[in-house]
Amino acid sequence: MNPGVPVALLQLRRNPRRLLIAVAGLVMSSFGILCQMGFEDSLFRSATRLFTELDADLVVISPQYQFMVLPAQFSERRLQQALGATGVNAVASLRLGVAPFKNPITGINRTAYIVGAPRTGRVFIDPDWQAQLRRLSRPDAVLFDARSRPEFGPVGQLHRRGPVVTEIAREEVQVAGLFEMGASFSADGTVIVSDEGFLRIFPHRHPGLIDVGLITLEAGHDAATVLDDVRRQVPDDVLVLTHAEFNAREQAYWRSTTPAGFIFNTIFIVSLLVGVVSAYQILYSDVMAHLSQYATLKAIGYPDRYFRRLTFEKAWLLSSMAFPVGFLLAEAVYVGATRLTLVPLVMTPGRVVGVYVITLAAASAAGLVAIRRLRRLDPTDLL
Amino acid sequence: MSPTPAIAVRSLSHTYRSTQADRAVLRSVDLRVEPGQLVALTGASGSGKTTLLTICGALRSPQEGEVHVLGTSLFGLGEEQRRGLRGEIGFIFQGHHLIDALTAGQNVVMSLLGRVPPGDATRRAARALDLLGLADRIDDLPDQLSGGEKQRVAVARALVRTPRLVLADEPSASLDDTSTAAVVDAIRTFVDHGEAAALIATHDARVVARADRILHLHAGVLSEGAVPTSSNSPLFPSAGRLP
Repeated sequence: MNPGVPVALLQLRRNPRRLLIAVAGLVMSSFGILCQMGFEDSLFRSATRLFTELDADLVVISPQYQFMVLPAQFSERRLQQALGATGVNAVASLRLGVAPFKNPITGINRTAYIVGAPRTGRVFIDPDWQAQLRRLSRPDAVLFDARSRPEFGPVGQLHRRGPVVTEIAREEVQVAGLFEMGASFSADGTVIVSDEGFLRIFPHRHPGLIDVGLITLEAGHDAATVLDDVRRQVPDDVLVLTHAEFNAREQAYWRSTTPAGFIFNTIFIVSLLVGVVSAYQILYSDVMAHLSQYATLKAIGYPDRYFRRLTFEKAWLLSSMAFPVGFLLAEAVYVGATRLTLVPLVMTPGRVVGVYVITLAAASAAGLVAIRRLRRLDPTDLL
Repeated sequence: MSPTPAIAVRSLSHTYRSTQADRAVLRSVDLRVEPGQLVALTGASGSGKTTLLTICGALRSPQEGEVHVLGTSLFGLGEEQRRGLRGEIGFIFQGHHLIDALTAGQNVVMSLLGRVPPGDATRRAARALDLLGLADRIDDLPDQLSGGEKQRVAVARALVRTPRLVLADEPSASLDDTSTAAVVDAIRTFVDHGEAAALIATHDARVVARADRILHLHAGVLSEGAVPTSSNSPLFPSAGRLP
């Protein structure tokens, strides 16, 4: 169709100032969307990082459970009842809480997330985490997340040099091992203790009450069938979910109950609008400035699809000029934010492709609106 | 057997309808333009010249009568067929309407949409511009060209596809004598050396002087006009090929 003349590129280059503004707008758009997606993904991933490591097919929680920092207790007997369901292999209980952890160097307390786990039985998928549980033989032994925020002190380095003794909720504890998880938006640092250790830190907690129950199935059993059976076995004062449902519920809390979801959605929409408006501005101006030329081309036989293709070419060129810059800026923010917050922001190939497609779609949508005027263009207006 | 006429119009009437009052612009027009003819269409503003051109150019649908252009009846033609027919016609408008981001050569190449390979298109465009005295301006952008040069590029754009019919609407408006001569010479030469016909709506005596036939439209009625004596104007030394 194109007789060898790069019309789209030449027309865009014709007005460098307008081109620069449009590209800058699309840079901001792709940058904003990449950052929004990065932070949102980081938030949701970090919010469920601990739970995705749990070795469980089904999860039992209280209906009052809100999210990891605001759980609700239920009787450990419910897990014993679940053991009666066909296909259930084993159960394990988790106790969750927050307590002040004393920086062993400065002596300053900072709130840490405390996970009480049984020393025996499978709890974690990660074999290293699971192996570390054996170190919790003493009630004052704790495992410390070496990727916690630095405000907790250089616990990891100190531990590699020798025993580290500090306090949690004014109870003396000794770091018996390290694991690597990373800070999240709801926990700056995490400590794993044994059931006994947890009750030592939280003496007011009833020993028969737990926060999360883990159920693993025997091989060869269908999770949905066992789930139904477990639900029949236990009273309805607890919720029985698949592991995936549990993670989704945790993410849904952040997405819908906290302002985070609204803020992320707003950033996304605003970024998208910036892209659409910037692209529309140049594409519409371009159409209006070339009406008589385009009418001439229509008169001599150019079909409407040529102008659509021309506009899409321009949208593609604009996106291709803008996206790499937006990507590099966002990558810099990812690296900087990860260093600053220790919450990893990861630029995945899928996100890069996805945001490029979104940028292209935004520019193309702007182009489609811009060329509506062309469809109504009558070449007889030239005469 | 006589060749197919470029334009054959019989009893063509056309009325612009409005809520205020209908206005008949063409009244039972009969017109026949043969290949090899350059026909000047004169008439006052509003006499129906442009309407007749747009109907013959398949840009506007005829309402009443018979219209055959290059052997095709324009009645009942779909948009795709009309677009295809327009591809056989060379249009020259009063304004040049060149794409400002493209060079003179590229503007001419644009006329060869999907017709020839890009390499051939470039060679043909260069030849067309050369014939119009613009060989050295092929790489210039429109805003580097004078008004006359731009119109000559527009003529090259119309003729480079070797159309069988050229329709021009006031092609010499606001051009100086030199540019007018170049434009009309090019159309005249094109018609003389090919199988094409040309119908030119004009007020310009310099254009009329080069025509084989002169038609006059008055209040929608078409009549054959007299050949002006200015056809022997020194501006147009080749004029004189009159019936």
